[in-house]
Amino acid sequence: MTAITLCLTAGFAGLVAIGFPFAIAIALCVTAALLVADIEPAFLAQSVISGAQSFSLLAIPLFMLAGGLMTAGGLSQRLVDFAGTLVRHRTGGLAMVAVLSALIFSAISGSAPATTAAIGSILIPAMARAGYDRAFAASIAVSAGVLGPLIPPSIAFVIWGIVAEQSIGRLFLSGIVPGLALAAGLLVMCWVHAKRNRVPKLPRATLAETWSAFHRGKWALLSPAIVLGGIYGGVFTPTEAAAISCLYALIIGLFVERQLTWRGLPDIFAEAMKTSAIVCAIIAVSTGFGILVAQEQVATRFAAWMAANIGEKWLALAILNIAFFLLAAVMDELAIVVILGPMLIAIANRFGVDPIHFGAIIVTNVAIGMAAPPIGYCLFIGMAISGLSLARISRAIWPQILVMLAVLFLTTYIPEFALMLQPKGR
Amino acid sequence: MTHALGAVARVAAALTRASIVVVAALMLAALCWQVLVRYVFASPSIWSEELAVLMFSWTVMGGLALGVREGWHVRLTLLPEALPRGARIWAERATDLVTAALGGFLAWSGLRFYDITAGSVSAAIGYPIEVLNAMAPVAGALMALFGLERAIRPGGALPPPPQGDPAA
Repeated sequence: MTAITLCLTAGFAGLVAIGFPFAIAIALCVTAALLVADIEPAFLAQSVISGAQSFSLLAIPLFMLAGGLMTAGGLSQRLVDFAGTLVRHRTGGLAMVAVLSALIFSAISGSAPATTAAIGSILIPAMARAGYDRAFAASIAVSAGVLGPLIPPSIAFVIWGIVAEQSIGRLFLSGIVPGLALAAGLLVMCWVHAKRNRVPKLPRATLAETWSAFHRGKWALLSPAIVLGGIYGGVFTPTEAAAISCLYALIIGLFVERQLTWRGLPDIFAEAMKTSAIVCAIIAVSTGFGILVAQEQVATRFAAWMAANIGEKWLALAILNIAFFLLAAVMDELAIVVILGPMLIAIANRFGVDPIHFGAIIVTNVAIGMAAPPIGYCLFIGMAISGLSLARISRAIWPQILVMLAVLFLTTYIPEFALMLQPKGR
Repeated sequence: MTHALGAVARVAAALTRASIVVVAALMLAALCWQVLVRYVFASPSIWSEELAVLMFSWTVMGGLALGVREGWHVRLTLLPEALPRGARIWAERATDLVTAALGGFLAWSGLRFYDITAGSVSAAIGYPIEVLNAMAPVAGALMALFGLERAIRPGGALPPPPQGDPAA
């Protein structure tokens, strides 16, 4: 093992373990590698700057901004109201509203934390008032929030598309069926919970009520159509779609719904840029890390070792999924994707996994990691909204995690499950 | 000394945050303009994408530095949290000092890169490439400032201990 490889592997693991932020730990490892190998120091600045120069990456802050503007502009409430008129009268109806609303909101924001925050802040208190166990209410909002990375547009797919150099549009399509399957599974969980706990049903909405909610929610409901229609109609790229989504939310929030104010905009922008910078800073500093990993052939050598020692594709995928699940218990999921991306791609290539199918597997893992204890990001949002401890939400969320693992199993071992919506002749 | 550094860091952080909001708005405007002129005026813009990417670069570089000051970069805290509070404060100080040193190295590395590439212009707009490449030394200097300020902050940069957990 060379000194550079040691810096990039053991050095990185050690720095992260003692509490250095991922972005700082990566930059320190690159710096150490430059110093031990006597490489031009300007490499660090050059790689960080070039890492921040990807047009596709712009979609990340913009989709986060779109989610923030929609929530602040009251569009999330309108989505929830409309979804409520459709299913609230069923057994577990209000919990189902959370799932349906998250499904629609996911098609706007592409972010699991944004979806959890938007839906959870409205529905966790409402579900608790309606007789649901508060921990279940929080856990269903958290689980529904992870539809964000699966349903297009998805920030996680954008990142994987950049890391793996794959079509972001095609990756988006590969998340739809797993996302819908997860939503269906969560709806069943809502029904089972309400049945078991005898949660009272809400009255069925009248046709006039449904129409009124649809009418009030029409601007919010139009947003996914504009974003997805624009991308798949060839009108704009995913990055441009994110910008149009922000513009749309701004216009509706400022001039139609009038819930946004000019004075409030800087805070919404600052919050979105902060959340985006957390991810994008890791991506930017990882550029130099990736170059050094490629130069040292760390990823390809590990993939070759795996191929020699494991052999079977199904077993390799199972090991990858288990490793991802365990790693996500101690590490940010998107950081795993960025930092281990080259290694994951090398393994997928070795075992002949379709790159789009592999993208769907990775992003399904990311989605699960965001909800899984102990450090799923959405869990913390659910805790903040519900005021419950991590232990209580963690206990309540396990049945939903099992549903997610079932979706991961289908995505991993039935490629058509993720690929059935891909255009013919690809 | 500590107070002066704290004041400088506060002003630098406020300016960084404000600049990020402004460039984010410009980035959004440039991309919306790009779509508008392509479809409404049937005349693709040659500068908007490059401008948007330039603006985005500052949201990342500025965000990298600002995250050091505000402590919002993602990290594993299992080991630090296992330490007693006194030891943890010193561990945080050490982390912040190393981060400040990294910022210093990035600033120096950025200045070298700035010198190497000076005189070039961007492909579409033709802006001096120094505008882009200056972001690395600026972000590095800010990281050094913010890291140092946190390291010597009286009482350390840790949030105050929680007053019981009402949520538990």
